[in-house]
Amino acid sequence: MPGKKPHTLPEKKNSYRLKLPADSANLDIIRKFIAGIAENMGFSEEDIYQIELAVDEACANVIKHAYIGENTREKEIHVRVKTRAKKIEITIADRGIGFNPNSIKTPNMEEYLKRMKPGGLGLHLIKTLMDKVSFRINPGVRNEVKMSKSLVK
Amino acid sequence: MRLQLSGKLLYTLILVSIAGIFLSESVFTLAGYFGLRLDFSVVTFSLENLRTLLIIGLILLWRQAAKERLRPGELPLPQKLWRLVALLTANFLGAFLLKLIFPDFIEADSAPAGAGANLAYTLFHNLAGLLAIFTLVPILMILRQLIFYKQRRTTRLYLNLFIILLALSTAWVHSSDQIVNFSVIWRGTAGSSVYNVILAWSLSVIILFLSFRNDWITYLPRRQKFIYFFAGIFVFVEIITVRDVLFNPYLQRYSLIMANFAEVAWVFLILYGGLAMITLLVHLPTARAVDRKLKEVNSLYGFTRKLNTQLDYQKLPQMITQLTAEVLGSQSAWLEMFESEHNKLALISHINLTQQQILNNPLDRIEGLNHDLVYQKKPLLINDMSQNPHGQELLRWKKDLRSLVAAPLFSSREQLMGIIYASKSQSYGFDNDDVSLLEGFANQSAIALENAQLWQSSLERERLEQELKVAREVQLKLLPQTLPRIPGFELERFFLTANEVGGDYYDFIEFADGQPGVVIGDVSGKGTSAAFYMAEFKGVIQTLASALNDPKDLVCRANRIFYSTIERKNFLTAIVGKFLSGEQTFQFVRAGHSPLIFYRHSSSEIHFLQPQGLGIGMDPGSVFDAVAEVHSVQFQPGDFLLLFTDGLVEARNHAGEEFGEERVASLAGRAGQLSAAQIKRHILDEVTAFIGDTPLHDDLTFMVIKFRG
Amino acid sequence: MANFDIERKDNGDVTILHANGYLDAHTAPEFENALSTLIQEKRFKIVVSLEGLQYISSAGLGVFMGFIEEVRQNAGDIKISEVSPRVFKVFDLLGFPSLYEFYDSKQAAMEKFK
Repeated sequence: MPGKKPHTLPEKKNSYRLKLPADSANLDIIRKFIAGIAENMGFSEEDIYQIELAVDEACANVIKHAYIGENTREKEIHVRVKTRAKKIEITIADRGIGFNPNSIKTPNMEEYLKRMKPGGLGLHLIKTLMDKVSFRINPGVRNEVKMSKSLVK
Repeated sequence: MRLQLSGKLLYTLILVSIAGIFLSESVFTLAGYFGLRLDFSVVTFSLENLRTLLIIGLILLWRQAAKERLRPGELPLPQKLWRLVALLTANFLGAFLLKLIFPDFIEADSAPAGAGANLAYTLFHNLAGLLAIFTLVPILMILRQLIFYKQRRTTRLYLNLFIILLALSTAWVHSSDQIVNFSVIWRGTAGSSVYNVILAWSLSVIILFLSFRNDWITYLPRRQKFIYFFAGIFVFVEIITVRDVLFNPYLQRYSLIMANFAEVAWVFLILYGGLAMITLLVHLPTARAVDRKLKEVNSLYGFTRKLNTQLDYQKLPQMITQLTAEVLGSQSAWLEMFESEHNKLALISHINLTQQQILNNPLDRIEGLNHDLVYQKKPLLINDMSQNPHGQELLRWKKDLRSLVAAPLFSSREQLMGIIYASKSQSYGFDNDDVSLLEGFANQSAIALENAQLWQSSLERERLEQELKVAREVQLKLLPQTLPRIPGFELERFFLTANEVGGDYYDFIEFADGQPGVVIGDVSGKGTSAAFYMAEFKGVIQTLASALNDPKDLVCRANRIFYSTIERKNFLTAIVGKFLSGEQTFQFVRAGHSPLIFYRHSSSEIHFLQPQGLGIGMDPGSVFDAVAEVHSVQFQPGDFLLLFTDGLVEARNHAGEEFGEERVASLAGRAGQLSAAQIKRHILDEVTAFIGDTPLHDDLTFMVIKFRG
Repeated sequence: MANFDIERKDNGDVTILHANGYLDAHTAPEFENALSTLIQEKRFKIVVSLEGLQYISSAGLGVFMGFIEEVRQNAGDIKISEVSPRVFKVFDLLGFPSLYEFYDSKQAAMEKFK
């Protein structure tokens, strides 16, 4: 645009969606999908790895817990990625049984060892790796984990 | 006169000058007081000159100080005028105060006897003189600012002439011991010196010229014109009184040069003030029109400026209607954009319209009231609904509609973009100025909308490019990096993306029973969605494969899943094959995909294998399931299969010719003895030679499966 | 598929497991199988070389935790060697370095068992 710099430039926003059967075999596809987008935005390799891991954890949660005892037809996992100039925002959604994010506490490793029960680490990882994590739980309808990370150059 | 003195030094010098003036005058009195005898003739002469010099110096010093301290040039116009009035009033009140304090000396021609009275007499005159200097210098400076409000080429020339004349008159005053008497102008020149006449006339004429420079009055808002005019009457009286009643008698006794300066300043004030009053008076009747024009220019300027800051095409229309309603003071305003594909106008933003009114908008076609707006590009003004043939219809639509203005928006290529309307709930709510204002708004809005559209589309293009890049990257990441090892078989594959992202896809899978399989597919359409459908397809196939053993079952289930999610215009074609354990059998299902080429080594025969099958995502399930056919290939040593996508067959050379199935087949026929890797090489060489420099318009994918035995 | 594999090398009473590729919720069972096979064989001195591991998620970490207690009760240990900085960061985030021993080389890890 010629002339003065306008105050209200519409931001460049992109949105990508992926809908896959909730199967652990598809974690790889989801990670590559996320990596492809993050790479394009200019995230560092380190950051991409972290985003991939956070998304992987969220999806693994869905795959493992969301659809217990339900019929296979609806076992889907929705990944939506919104990109802004300096921020990636990822939403992982399912229609499964949902969970109470507050009931899952940050794990204490000593206790973990004693109980010998892996799990719950995922959420802790997501919170550690991403800038912002939020949940919207609506069992059977739509459960969402929304996470975002900003691009720091 | 450019004196660059620091503030402190300046004020010290001013104080020194004042003290000097005072001392030079009272030195006789003081000397007498102390019993000293001085040589009158010599001392008087030099003291007089010293005092004169000091007075001139003081005027210049004060001018510099006032310039730095008051900064009249930076003040807005009303403040300049107020300052002018304040200075005049200070002069007036100061002189009045002096008169109250020293009543005896006003008329006295010479100092009364006695040292005390003499000192008081001197003090009085000095205070009066200083008062004149301290008020008149900034007054003249403000007058100068007013004159320069709108500078013309000759303004500076006149002003310089004035200063020269002032200096000349000062010199003449000094030599002739009398001030310039302006009364020669109306009393006639009889008995006056020639110099006086010349100076009086030339000064008057130049001051008169300068007094015509009062353009600032023209640009005053109407209200201020009235205020200034009535306030001006009092100020003018003040100006006259200052000279006649208060200054005239004793300033001459104080210093002729000072008196002359005051006289000239006074003439200046009288002439400038008088002409300003006349100008104000003349402008009062037209003040309203000027006011409107001014408002128009201002609001158009503000409008344009605001619009230019908004490049978001979504927000712009609301801003346009908002500003239009505000500036025209109308209750409602709305913007309709022309949709050429429907040949209709769509109301896209509004102020104060009900949902009902928006739905029933009677002005949505280029006919009736809109006809002339569009075809004659003329604005519309209706001030009386009862007189207008469309009035009734409009009133039925919007009960409180009494006056209406509208103007069309045309793009830079003279294309109709839309129409902006504004309405009021009283008759005769708009005048011609409003119409031209709205016309101006419409032009600016059209430009802003066009800019925003351009910006938006460039943004959109960039967004799509970005999406394509991402899609391609994801697509490439998702294709398998390694080839599986299947006993007895040689596998090779080739994949090349076109400039645009196509939806080609191949994969190696594992069925629930652990048997390996291959998939080759192509999503219809290109671009982002194709690439992401491919990702979803990969996921679906992968998931189904881990639970199923039968390729037909897998394809049918994949179709059901995809039918519910894929957009109707999209579909995908694929071949899913499975290597059966123990036997050298390849079982496959063709879902609308290009046929397979099978080369039978023993007979050197080429077979196009094309079992029945629909594309995935075209049918909800029953037809697909019924049509789908499983075909088996029994391998013998040396046989090979060639799986490919459209990209291979449809690869074009510069003449636009397609590579074609026949070429592919004959190629396969000549490749009998080769290894899978050699066959791949061979095909690639042929295709590359065929297409030359022509860029690929679709992804190119193929897979070679050779049985060694 | 085929983005994770595990190779086993027995070296005296120490077993070295080479984990390659991507260890996530999908591939973790493979790793789990490998470890439980070792337990069944009463081979408790385990070095897991992660030289070829490009990625690990918490599911992969969970496998380590699932076996460590039993292994240590049997006078054995799971020692980890040659972790890439990226993968190590994930271990580190969850406090693994205080629970597991990490080594720069398989040899160094094996030495510790002697």
